[in-house]
Amino acid sequence: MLKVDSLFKSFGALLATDNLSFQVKKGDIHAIIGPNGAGKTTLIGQLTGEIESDSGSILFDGNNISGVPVHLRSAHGLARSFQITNIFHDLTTWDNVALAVQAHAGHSFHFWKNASKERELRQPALEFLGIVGLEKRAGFIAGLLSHGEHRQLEIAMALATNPKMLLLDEPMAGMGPKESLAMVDILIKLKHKLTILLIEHDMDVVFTLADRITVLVNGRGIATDTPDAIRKNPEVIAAYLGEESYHA
Amino acid sequence: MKWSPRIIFIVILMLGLGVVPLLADYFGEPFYTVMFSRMLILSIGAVSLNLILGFGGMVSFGHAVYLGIGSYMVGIGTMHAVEDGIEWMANGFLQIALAIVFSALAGLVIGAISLRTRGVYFIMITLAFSQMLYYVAVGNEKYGGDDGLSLYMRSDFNGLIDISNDNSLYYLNFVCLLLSLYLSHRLINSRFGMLIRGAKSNEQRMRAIGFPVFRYQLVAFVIAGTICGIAGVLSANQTEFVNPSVMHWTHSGELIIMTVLGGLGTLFGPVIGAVAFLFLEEFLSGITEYWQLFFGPMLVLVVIFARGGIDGMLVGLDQWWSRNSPVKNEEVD
Repeated sequence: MLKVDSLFKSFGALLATDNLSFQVKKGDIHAIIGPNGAGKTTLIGQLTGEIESDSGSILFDGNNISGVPVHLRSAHGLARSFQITNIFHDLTTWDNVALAVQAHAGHSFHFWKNASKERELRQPALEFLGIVGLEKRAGFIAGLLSHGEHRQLEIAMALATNPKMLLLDEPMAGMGPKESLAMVDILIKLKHKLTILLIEHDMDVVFTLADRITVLVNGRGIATDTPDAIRKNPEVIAAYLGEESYHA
Repeated sequence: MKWSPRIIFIVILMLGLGVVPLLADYFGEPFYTVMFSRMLILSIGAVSLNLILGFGGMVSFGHAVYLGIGSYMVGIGTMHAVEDGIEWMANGFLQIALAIVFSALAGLVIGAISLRTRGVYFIMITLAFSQMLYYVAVGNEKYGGDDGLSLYMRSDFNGLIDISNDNSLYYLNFVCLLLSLYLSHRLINSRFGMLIRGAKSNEQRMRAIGFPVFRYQLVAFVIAGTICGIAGVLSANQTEFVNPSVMHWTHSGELIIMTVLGGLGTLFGPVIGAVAFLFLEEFLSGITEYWQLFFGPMLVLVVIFARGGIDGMLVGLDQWWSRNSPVKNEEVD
């Protein structure tokens, strides 16, 4: 589904992505873990096109998408959620998702018909809200929802763009235990229906959900393997898991 | 539609605007027809600016340029009609068509360049373009230069509407305002409008879900300019005089003030703002020469205490009203 090959990116003297290569198989939940500053968010930026790579290639679903602009990557079927909540605060929850549906329903040079009464936008939007459990919040102004609900809304919006692959940048960041559990449930529901690249700090979550894990340290991929193998990998334990696993 | 103080206010305002010439004639004060006519024309300008400023978040500081373009279409046409006897150049339909074409072209060029920037740079570039066209008009001696052009006749609408009469011009303005409001209403609720509003709210997100934002913003920019160009045609007929100052940046600033004062991003806000602005100008300048000394602080107060402008205050009044209305809504958990 996704093949990253010898990707580089430096900011001045800092190598944020250093000869990174890995593959994500179709239908998998593939997690990227690594300590703070390992280059996880830079990698997401490179995948979505917001950050230009210095060199290397990104093959997505058989197409080389390096150098393709952001909005076209979305058209290819790559959707993302953001580490920091990124929604339309002054629109309703329903409008938020309907806009995401609209983005992939042809061009938007429709000047006359009332978009909030178009069934082909509103109905699918409501279904996606249902998947993430927000249908009761449809009419609320999105800015007024709780933090956890914002993250759920983000997932609904990403799903509404009808993606082949979902990039989730720390979907549990800042969530309470109850909200985290709800999010895990949502991701379990989505598992195997579409490919998910998950960047997450919470090791419990990662080892529960992921089919495969890539460990990133200082921009380099030091291992890509199944959760069990990663747990036992001495290099990973030395670099990262050793300390962290006791917290979990 | 539920009746609330805000709705009632807006209905009374619009009905009131509809009967101004009748009242003015009845009381023998035709001056008020002219004054309110100006309000209508600037309302159209503010409504068009609100499309990009209020709904789209594009702070164009050069919107008066289109008023100028529309005005000069009338000024130049009429000049040739009167001085050179080319009568068809005074035709109002032709002048409106030309105003649409040239405003759209100007909007396309200005928008295509300025929309590549954001924030302060966008403001500065739109300002620069408007000042550029202002100086073109100042330097163009053939069409009056700095002094401008006096119109010896108003546009001719093939005898369909005779706007040489102030009252019929008033109603032409009024109909144009209603049309621009209806057009705005359709636009902002369409898919196109949702996109423009979404881009104002969160542009990065719009790209991430797959919208090519730039081209839509550009179209919105062109539409807003075009509507304002038509207001320019009306404005020249109203004042029977065209000069470069109509494009001056201070005039663009006034359009922004009207829109902000009335309420950004609401349908009727700009109309309320334009009426309030001109009314205060008239009222305060009647009291003192230094009226701006009082107008300025009032504006500051509105911006600080009523984020949504006058329309925002009305919304606040509505909320207060529904809380205190005798028929209590049932409490929801």
